[in-house]
Order: sequence, then structure tokens, then C-alpha cells
Amino acid sequence: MNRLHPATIIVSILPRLKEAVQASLPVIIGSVVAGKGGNHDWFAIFIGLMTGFLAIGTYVTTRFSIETDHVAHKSGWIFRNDRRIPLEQIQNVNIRQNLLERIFKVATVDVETAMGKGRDLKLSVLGLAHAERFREELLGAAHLNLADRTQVEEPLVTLNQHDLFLGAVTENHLQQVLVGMFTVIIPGVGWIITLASKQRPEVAALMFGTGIVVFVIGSWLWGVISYYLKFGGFKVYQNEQLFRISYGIINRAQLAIRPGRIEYMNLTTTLPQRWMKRASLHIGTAGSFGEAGVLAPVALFVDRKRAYESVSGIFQGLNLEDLDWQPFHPIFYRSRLYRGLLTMALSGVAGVFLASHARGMGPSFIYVILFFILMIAGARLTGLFLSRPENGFAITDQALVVRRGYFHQTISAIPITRMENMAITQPWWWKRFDCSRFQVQGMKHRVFVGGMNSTSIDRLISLWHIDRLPAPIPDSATELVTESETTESQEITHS
Amino acid sequence: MDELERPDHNVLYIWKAEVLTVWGIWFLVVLGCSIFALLKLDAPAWVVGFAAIPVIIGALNLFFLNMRWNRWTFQITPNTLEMSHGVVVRHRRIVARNRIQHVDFNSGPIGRKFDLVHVVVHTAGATVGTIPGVRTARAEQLRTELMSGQKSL
Repeated sequence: MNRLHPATIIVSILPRLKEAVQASLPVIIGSVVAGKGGNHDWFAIFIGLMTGFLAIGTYVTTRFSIETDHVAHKSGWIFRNDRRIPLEQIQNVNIRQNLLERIFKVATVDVETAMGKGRDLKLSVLGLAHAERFREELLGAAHLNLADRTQVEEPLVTLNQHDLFLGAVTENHLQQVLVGMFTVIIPGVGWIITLASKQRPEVAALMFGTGIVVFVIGSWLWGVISYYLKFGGFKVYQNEQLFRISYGIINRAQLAIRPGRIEYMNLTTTLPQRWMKRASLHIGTAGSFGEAGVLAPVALFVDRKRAYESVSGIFQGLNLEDLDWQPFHPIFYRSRLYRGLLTMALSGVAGVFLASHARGMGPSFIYVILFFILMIAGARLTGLFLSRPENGFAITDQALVVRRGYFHQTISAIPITRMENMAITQPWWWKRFDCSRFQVQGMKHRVFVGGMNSTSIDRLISLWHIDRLPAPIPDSATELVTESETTESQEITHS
Repeated sequence: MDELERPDHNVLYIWKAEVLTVWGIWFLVVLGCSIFALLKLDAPAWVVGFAAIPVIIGALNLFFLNMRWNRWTFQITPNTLEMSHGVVVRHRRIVARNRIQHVDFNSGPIGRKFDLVHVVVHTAGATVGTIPGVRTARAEQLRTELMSGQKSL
């Protein structure tokens, strides 16, 4: 059996130290509060020794090997763990490197199956070449010589600096704005209000408005930088019908995906990207990709036409440019409108009620939160109705495709052969409109249609040839080579 | 197979116990909070009236229990398991039989008294549904039927 790289001892100390400090925070805080916040040297030494001991223990006790039909992993001293994962159940094998691991030229390998929630097996850390070889052996492509392949292989997709910058600037960073709102604005709102209350009303209003603009721009910039660091160096290789995707400047992720395991596709484009006719394509399998996320990017900020061709390559025969789109039922928009208005009304009433009973800074604080809630709810309703002309679904012989969104439009698809179950929900007041909410789920991913009539549902069920199993994954690499020779490869290149 | 079935009628005892437990606890929590607000925070007396909300919701649940049982159906076809339930909002779930990975039984003390189990159906990706109040013998048959046949990954 194989062992981990000796750098495991050093690389695993920091995350273990962080966990130990987090776990012991209550003790530290408690002793400080109780007035015993004097000498903590003994405690720090204890944590350091335990962390080092556990790091050495991980290196010494972990063993792993690849057998004929499974991968074996043993670890632990007092509590021992012996895990075996059948090779055929492996969905993804991902390689990650944080900054420290890149310095030591080692990497963490995550092995995922469909049943696990996240990674089922984590090897932290292996030497980088060993990690890549281990991944190729697990996925059955080990006959390739690593050195030869890297010399002749051309990436299928790359992201140059110009497109990386434009993609970062035009991407949807609303999440960063919301996170910034809760981590910066709300804790600091008391200070802002105190400062503004000492000014004349027009100056206070100007300060407040300027603060909002600076905050939004700052959050957006933070989103741009995060995108740049996350997707810098983005490359996709397709070899032996295996997608290998790598990206990341500080924390590098390397994903290896079998195309036969892809069960979900998500094509996204923001409003500025639509003007530039660009889109990004992400795919999902039955596993997730650990800390790299639930979806894997296969094309970022590419020409929209090329993105559509990529989709046809991944889901054979699915042509996004030639779909018979049907709109969501109007009752869906009505219900969302009522729900949004009700949320805004209840929030307003609750906010005014609480503010009227609060003292000191309370009312101002509550009104600021209320402002953000109403702003977000209003933006969502606006986006919903702006997207109405383009929202819709299409049923083909290959897949169910759903398009929705305005500021951030997504086209999602699940192949019919990958559908596991369907959920149809109908409130009684929708029955006379012959409309239901419809959701179809694969192993891990789901597609939701806001309002679908019974004719479309019945058509989809009839197409769902449940007695037809998905094509089996070829066992030998030779078969994979043969299939790749007869299949046209999709090339997306950037000049 | 292919017949429309319902949970056993004795499941109503289980559901009654669940409704009384859940909304009873909510009633106590809301009552406790409103009394605390009344005594310690100088809240007006009418806040105690909030405790009536879980009582009303619980009473409505009990009132519609028979209708809820009447609307709960399941059916095994050659390729699917179909489950339908719901009074105000109708839920229908269709599961491909060749995707079902395993079937579990859950039972509480009231269920065991009436020889009833909840049949929980799992696919590789998720728990897709629970058929409540099935007689143990019928549940074993269901498990055999659902687990038979070729499964896909």
C-alpha cells in the first residue's frame, strides 16, 4: 500500500491548528470573561503539540492502494477506518492545491461517488506527479505516459487575460454585495448613523448616498478580484473522452470528469455578456467537486455560438439554437408577484412596528435593514417581469431545457436518460388553469419549471423511457479511443 | 401492481399524535414567549392571544385529517412508483423504479402498536418519498417489488 507525502505533516498543521483554535474559543473566551485571562502559554503549547501529533499521526497511519476493482484506504490509530470504493462508482477525481501545497509541489486528491455528500475519499497530500498518476489510474487512463501527454496535448479551451478580465467585470457579483452588506454595512451602520446625525440633513443624505455607492462598487471590485483569482489559468483538456479542467491562481483545482457521467448542464450569461454575445458553460455530475463547487466550468466567457456547440457536443444532438420554446404559464408570474408584494408588505409592517418600539439607535438600524430587504425584493420582481419574454422550457427527445432570468440568465438542461424522479405540485387554485409547478431531478441536480401544463408534463413522461438504461461506461481505454475516433470533437479556441 | 393504493386507515392515529405533539409544543413555546414579554418587557396583554394561532392551525389539521388520508395514494407500475398526496396543494412524485437504490422502514410506538411502518424510498441522489402507514406484510412486498429488476448508476 502507498503512503502520503511527508509534506503532509507540515501542510496539514495549519488547517488543524485553525480547527483547534476554533474548538477552544469557548474556553479562551470563558477564561477571559471570568477574569482568568492571564497566562495562556500552557494552552497554546498544548494546542501546538496536539496539532503536531495529529499531523504526524495522519502521515504515519494513512495507507491507500488501487486494486483490481476498488480503491482501498486505511487510516487511524485508536479509531481505525477501512474504506473501499468500487472503481465503477467513482464520479469525479479532483486535485486541489492551496498556496502552501503549491510551494511544496504537493496536492490534495478528492475522490467522489454519487452516494457521498461531497468527497468520499480525501488524500492530503500526495506529490503532484503522484496525484496526477493516481487520478489517471482511478479513471482508467493510466496507459498514457504523463510526460508525453503534456508535450503533445493542446488545451481545448483556454481563457486569456483579456477575456478573464472582461469575464470578471461582467459576471454577476450580487452574492459578494449581499455578503458585504451583512459583514460590513450592518455592523457599521451604527457608526454611519452617528456620523450622519451630526450633519445637516442634505449633507447626511449625500453621505448616505455616497456610502451606498462606495459600498456597492467596493463589493463589486471584491467580486472581480475573487473571480480573477478563482479562474485565472483556466484550461480544459479533452483526452480519451475525459475532461480535465484546471483553474485557480492561489488555490488551484484540477477536475477530471467522465463525459458519460455528466447529468446536468448550466449555460449562464449576464446582461452585459449578452450584449457582447458571450456565455459560460458549467456541467454537473452525480458527485460534486468538493471545495471546487457543485458545478465544473468547461467554458468561461466564450462566444455564445461556440458555447451552444459545446452543449451539442456534451449532450449529443441537443441544439440550443433550434428549440421549440414554450413560455411559463402566466399564473406563475401572478403567484410570484403576489408573493413578492406580500413579503414586502409584511416586512414593512414588521419593520415599522419594531422600529416604533425600539429605543436609541434601534429605529435607524431597523430602517436600514428594511431598506435593503425592500430593495432586494423589488429587484427580484423587476427581474422576473423583465425576463418574462424569454423565460420558457423546451422538451426534446434528448433533454428538458429551461431558460430563465434577465440580469443573470441561465439555460439549464437534464438529459431524459438521467432523470431519476419528477415532482409535480399543483395548488388547488391553479387547477382550473391546468398548470403545475414541475421539477425533475437527476442524481444530484434538478431543473425547475415554474408553470407547465398537463400536456407538456404528459409528453415528458412519455419520452422518459424508463426501461431504457443509460449507455454503460466502456471498461477499457481502447474502447474509449475508438469512440473518440468516430465522434467529432468540439473545439473551442481563443485566438 | 398498477392498483391505486392508500395507507392503512389506522395511520390516522399516527397523524393525530403528530399533529397534537407538534402544535402542542408550538402552543407552549408561543405561550411562554408571550407571557415572558408580558411580564418582563411590559408588552400589552393582547400578545398572549398569539398562542391561539398554533391552536387554530392544529385544530384545522385535525379537522382535515380524513380528507388528508383520502387524498394520499400510491401506485406501482412496471416502470415507476407514483405517489400523490395533499389537500390544499397537490403533490405528485414519480420515481423511476430502476433508479431506486434501497427502501427503508421507519416506525414509531403508535405505528408498531398497529403493525404499521413508513416506507422510505431512496435513489442514488436523494430520499424521494415516504409512504406512511403501510402494513408490515404489504411493506415487505413493496420492498421486494421496488428492489427487483436491474438498477442503473
